[in-house]
Amino acid sequence: MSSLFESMWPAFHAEVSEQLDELEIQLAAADADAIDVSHCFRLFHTIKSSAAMMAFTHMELLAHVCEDILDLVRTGNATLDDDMVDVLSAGAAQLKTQLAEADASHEPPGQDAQLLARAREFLTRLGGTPVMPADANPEQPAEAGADADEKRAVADAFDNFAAILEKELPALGKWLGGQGKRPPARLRTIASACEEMGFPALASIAGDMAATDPGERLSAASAFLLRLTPLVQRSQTDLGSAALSDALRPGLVANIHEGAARCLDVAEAGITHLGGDEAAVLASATHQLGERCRLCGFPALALLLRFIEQILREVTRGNLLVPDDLGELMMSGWSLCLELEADHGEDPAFAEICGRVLTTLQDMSRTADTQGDALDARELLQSEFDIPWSLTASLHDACLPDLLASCRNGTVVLDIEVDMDGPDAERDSFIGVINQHARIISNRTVFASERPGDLQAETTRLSIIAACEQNPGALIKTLAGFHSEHFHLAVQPVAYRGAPEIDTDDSPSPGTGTPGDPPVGAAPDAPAPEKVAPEPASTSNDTLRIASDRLDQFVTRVGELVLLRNQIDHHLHGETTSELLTQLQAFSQQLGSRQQLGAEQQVQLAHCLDALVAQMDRLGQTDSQLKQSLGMLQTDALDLRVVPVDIIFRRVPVLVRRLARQLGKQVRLDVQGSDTRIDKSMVDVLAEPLIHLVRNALDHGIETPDARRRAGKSEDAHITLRAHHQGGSLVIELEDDGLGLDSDAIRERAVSNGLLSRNQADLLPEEQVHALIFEPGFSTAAAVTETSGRGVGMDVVRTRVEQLGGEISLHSTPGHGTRVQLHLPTSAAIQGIVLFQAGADTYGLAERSVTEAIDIEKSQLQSLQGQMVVMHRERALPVYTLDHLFQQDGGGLPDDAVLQVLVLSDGRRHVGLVVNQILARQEIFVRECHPDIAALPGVAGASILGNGEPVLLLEASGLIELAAADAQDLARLLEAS
Amino acid sequence: MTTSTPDGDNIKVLIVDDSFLMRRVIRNIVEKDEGFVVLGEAANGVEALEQIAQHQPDVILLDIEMPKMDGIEFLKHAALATTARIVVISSVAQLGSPQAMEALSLGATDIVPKPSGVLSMDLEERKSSELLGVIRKAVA
Repeated sequence: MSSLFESMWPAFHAEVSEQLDELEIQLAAADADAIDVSHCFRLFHTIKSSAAMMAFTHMELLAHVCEDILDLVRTGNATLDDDMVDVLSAGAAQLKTQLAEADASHEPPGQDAQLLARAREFLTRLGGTPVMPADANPEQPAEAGADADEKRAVADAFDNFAAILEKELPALGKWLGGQGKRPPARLRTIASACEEMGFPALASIAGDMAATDPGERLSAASAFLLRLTPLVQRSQTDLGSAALSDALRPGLVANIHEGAARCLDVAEAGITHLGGDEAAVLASATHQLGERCRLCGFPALALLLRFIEQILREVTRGNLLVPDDLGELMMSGWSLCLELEADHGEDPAFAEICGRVLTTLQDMSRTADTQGDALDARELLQSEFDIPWSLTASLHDACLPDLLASCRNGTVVLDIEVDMDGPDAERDSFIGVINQHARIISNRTVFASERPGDLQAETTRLSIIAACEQNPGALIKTLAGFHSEHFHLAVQPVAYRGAPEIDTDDSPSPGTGTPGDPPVGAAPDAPAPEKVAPEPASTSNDTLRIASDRLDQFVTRVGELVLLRNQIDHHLHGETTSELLTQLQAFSQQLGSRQQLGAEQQVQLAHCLDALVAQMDRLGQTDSQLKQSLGMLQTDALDLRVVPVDIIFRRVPVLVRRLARQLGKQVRLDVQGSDTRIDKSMVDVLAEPLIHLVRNALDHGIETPDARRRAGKSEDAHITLRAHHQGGSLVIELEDDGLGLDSDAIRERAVSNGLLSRNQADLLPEEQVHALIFEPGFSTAAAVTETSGRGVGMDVVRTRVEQLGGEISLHSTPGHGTRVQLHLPTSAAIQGIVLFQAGADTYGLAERSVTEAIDIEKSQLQSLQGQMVVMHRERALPVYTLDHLFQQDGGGLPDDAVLQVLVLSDGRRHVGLVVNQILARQEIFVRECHPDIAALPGVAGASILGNGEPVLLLEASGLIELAAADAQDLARLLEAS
Repeated sequence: MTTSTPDGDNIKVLIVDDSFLMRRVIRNIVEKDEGFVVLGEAANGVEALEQIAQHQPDVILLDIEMPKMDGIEFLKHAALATTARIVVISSVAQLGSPQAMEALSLGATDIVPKPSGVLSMDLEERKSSELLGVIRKAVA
């Protein structure tokens, strides 16, 4: 006896004795009704497990049978009667005997075979399947190449297995589909059948279906079915899987809806900048969606999801970035999931949509992919020769250079598809003919999954790409001769740009068989013409796809050009130039009047001067033309980055529909002005805030239909999303006719948050109260969002909008709804900037953040709790120097008696900034500056002025934050002002 | 960096690839993580199924193009025989390729495209950390 045994034995003995005593008491009850069935079941179960651990096989078996009998009672499949109590009592007594035996011998106890047989028979009578000792069914999976007898045995075993599944799976489906309790006996029957067939994975998953959690049960059942699929495809029967999957369908479809909604949630928050982990989670979720769609009979959608999953896996590994349009399409994949319905399968129209999205996605992922040479080759094949991605994607990488070379040589390339179920010899001679007259670039078998709608096809399909240098027409004709009943083929020249004409006199027209032949096989014929047709979208419109970073670079270069032109302007028209010229003219006049020059020299000098002035004029003219042209170039360049706002708007309807369904609200969405143009660089930043606003409006703004009816409104709430240009800015507006904001609740919240004193809160005008919801940290609590209507993360929305140089405003009428307006600059790149000098340097501030420029006398400065303030418009305006804010040792205030002060505002707080001199207001092309610099608080970016001097652009809200951090009490002070 | 199963055991890896060289490259990569132990190699799907019956691998690294029984066919059998995670490492499993799609639908946990080139000798250099990352994720 092992030491392990010795160490475990005391605990085992004590525990099992106690459990058996308990069983004895339970089973000895006078009335069967008084027996706690679940309790007894658990006792036998524990004894079984403990015995298994000690390797007391006989005890384990006996306890197991008793457990199974009680399980049938527990699940309502049998009733506890005196006979059963007899059997169970005998079982418990025998277990006790076995325990005593082991105690005496310290060896595994034996078995009372008669009792075991009796218990088993009892269980079988009740409809259960007794467990057998492991060595009783030694069947192993069949070896390949087994002899006829063994084959016979395997076939019999499989028939037996199939019969069990055919019986049990539909029944299991009823259990899983309904609300019934778990059918352990059934699951065990399935599991042991799988085990016997040598399918341990299936067996273990069958066990998982016993899970109590319905979700886990569904997952296990799906996994079981999916793993069974290849087996079903090989078998004559469906093994009962159809009935099971039908039963799972409603649950699966609901599950798909939920899963897709979750994916969309993550994706909406920013599919273009997914982190690796996020992408991994999305990939797994999408994998599951795909599998479930397949189970539910949506193969085209499943295929699409599988591709999306792969894109995400590439993202996970950092091999791929998702550009906006690709992300958009991926999202449409998940959106399609939301449209599935439990009661019918995939109709052709739906499948076609999925197929179209997939094709576009495949074409598009080409540009997004950053992987090596093979993709470059695919790209070249597309860009140089219009060979669609759909064709090259299916080719092995190694074939691509060959194909590229053939196209470059202008060789005829044939795309040959063959379906055959004839003898191999025929295929060999067919390939032999091709080899004789052409060079095979690629030869691959087309998988059944690539041929949706043709899934049952028994034939083998080959797809061959071959380069034919000599007399392709003759080859096509020869190949067509192979066409027969069991040998369907389609031969086409690949229609690449610059492909040579094929001599049509002795060749069939492309895409059909030889004239007079019966139409070539339907299956290869259908996809083939599409395959080689040039992509209408990408070629016929003369549209060019450009990576957006290259476009950005281009726009930046144009901006630099404009800055350089400004320098010319500065040199040409600047004071120095004209002064020098005036001086020169005066000097020449002096010389002339003093007659220090000869007459001829004087004429020459005057001539030179005139010529110089004329030259300057011409330069000036050319410069102003240059300025005009550059201006147009810049507008055009910026226009390239402009896209319809629809790119962000089009996500909204799906979101609204989904949220409305989730929340049980009825919403009518009206989208206006979706063709309004917006700078591409703003799209990414704006998408999330907009989604946030919509979510908030639905979540908190819109009431339930009931509440709306009570309020005398129509049950359908109305949300309007519109975009339009107003003056120089783009306005995006979201309006709902819901509850409106609850000002009192907001006031309460602001007071309890310590943002305002009670007094301040009461005095604060309505509009400013509403503005409070944009304060950071104001409204994360659920309480206020429930009562006031909105506020979750509104500070984030504001921050994003301000980042873009925009403003957010909100108007709300209690009971009538809320309107949120985003005012955005039309271009993120060019901004109106106020230039000023502070210390020795020039700085810029966005014009919109400067509310006023005021002159104050030094004597007007006061000190309030150590803070320099000036009374302005009847409030105390805190005043800072830039050195002070940036915590630099500076010279303090300028020496002048009158100080120039810029009043900065972030919409609520005001700060005065002392500057040496206000210089000018300019439209400036804002360049991205080094990220380390951009990360500094208060710094927005950099630019170069006309004179070549660099200028740092500051950010008012950042400066105000710095000021607030400077004096802890300042926030309060500013509130009061 | 080491990885292990929740119960602290080493993760058992089976490498299935018809190229001896490729198996060695992959083995070298896998053994960089002390949490992994390579318990066997197989040159085709049939051998791999035998290995599965003997040992119970946690992860199977699978090539697609192999003689006798290819990776796709193997996946169909493995679905019935093992709950191990299966990561496909193959040059034909590029983004969006039919084989990649097929493999995923047959239950592959993840797919790592081998760099192009017949021998993929640079795999060890170029894909080491990526591959380990994928395997760790697969068993996570």
